[in-house]
Amino acid sequence: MSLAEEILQLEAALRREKVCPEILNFESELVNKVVTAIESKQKLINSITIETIEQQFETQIYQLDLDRIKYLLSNYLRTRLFKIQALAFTIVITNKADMLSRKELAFLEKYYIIKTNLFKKSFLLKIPEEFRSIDHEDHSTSPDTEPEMNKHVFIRALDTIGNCKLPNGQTANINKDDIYLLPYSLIKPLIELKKIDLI
Amino acid sequence: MYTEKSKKLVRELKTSKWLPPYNNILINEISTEITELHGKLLQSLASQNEALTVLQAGCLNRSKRSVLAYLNFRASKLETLRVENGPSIPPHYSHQLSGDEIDYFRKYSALLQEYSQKVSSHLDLTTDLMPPKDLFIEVRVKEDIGDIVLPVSGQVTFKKNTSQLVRREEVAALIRQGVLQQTN
Repeated sequence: MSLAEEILQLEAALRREKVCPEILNFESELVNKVVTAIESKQKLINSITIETIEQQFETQIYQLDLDRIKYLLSNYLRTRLFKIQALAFTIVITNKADMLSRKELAFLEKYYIIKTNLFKKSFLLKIPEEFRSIDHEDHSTSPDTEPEMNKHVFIRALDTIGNCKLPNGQTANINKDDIYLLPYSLIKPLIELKKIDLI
Repeated sequence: MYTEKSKKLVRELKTSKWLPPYNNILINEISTEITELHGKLLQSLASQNEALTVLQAGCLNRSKRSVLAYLNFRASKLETLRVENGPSIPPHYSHQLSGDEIDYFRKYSALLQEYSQKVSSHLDLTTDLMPPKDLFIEVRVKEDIGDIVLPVSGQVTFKKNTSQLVRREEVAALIRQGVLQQTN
């Protein structure tokens, strides 16, 4: 796969991550490739000795192009980090940790500790011991808001899916390249099968 | 009335543009209320008064959730501040925070830095929050900061009320802190 294709894929991954209410699988292979590409390109740019104006101009264009790739990657990682933070307790309780990369998991573990420490020091140590826990499975006192699974999302079919039963009783005939606005919970299995894409 | 105070606490969050001052007094009052309620809950459990038990447990959990929501909301504001504004808290914000919150900000800041470093040494997650358009930007200096050394450009002098052409990624943090202002 060429770098241009990888970047298109990263763009799509970023879009999916922005739209989807819950955390998606980490695109580890893709991210690794892009990180390697960024590092080698940055080294290449740094090693160019600038002698003429033309060379300087050229280097600047390369650098700007690289900065845009960096932006895309850091935006993807940042979007995921924010989601991990917002859903930290839910991810820990529901054991969603296998969706994260190893680095994200390390981040989450430490984040969970400093967050619970803040809660403990500011408040939980002041109330009776039986009520200090915040990890109830039923979410009765978890500080997170659960992901909004019925949020409507725009989808594009990557394949012909056929009839799909909608919550209001009607059926929709989804063909390839059709665009629909549907509740996330309804189409979740189709995303995992790569039959549709979030847009 | 029970849970009245916790409602007040959560409402306070809406009264300020950023965050209202940390209300330690109210949190302590709510904690006392919870401890009292806990005592009463144990009594009604012993006397097997089911209806009262359910009601008291409900009130207790609600108060607890409200305080946690209050703390959580504040913490998330701090996280956004770290990403948008860099690793230091502006002085007019730090008055609004509790000691524990400032401590949290520092720890979170270190954690974010660590993650960013681990992904790649060539990448800072907070440099570009908007898609970059130009490699060089024109900035106007709002505060006198004198000479500073930048990684690529070397030594640069920023004098108040002057304009300069600088590399975007090197001064991104200074722009977000309000020391420089982009003019093109």
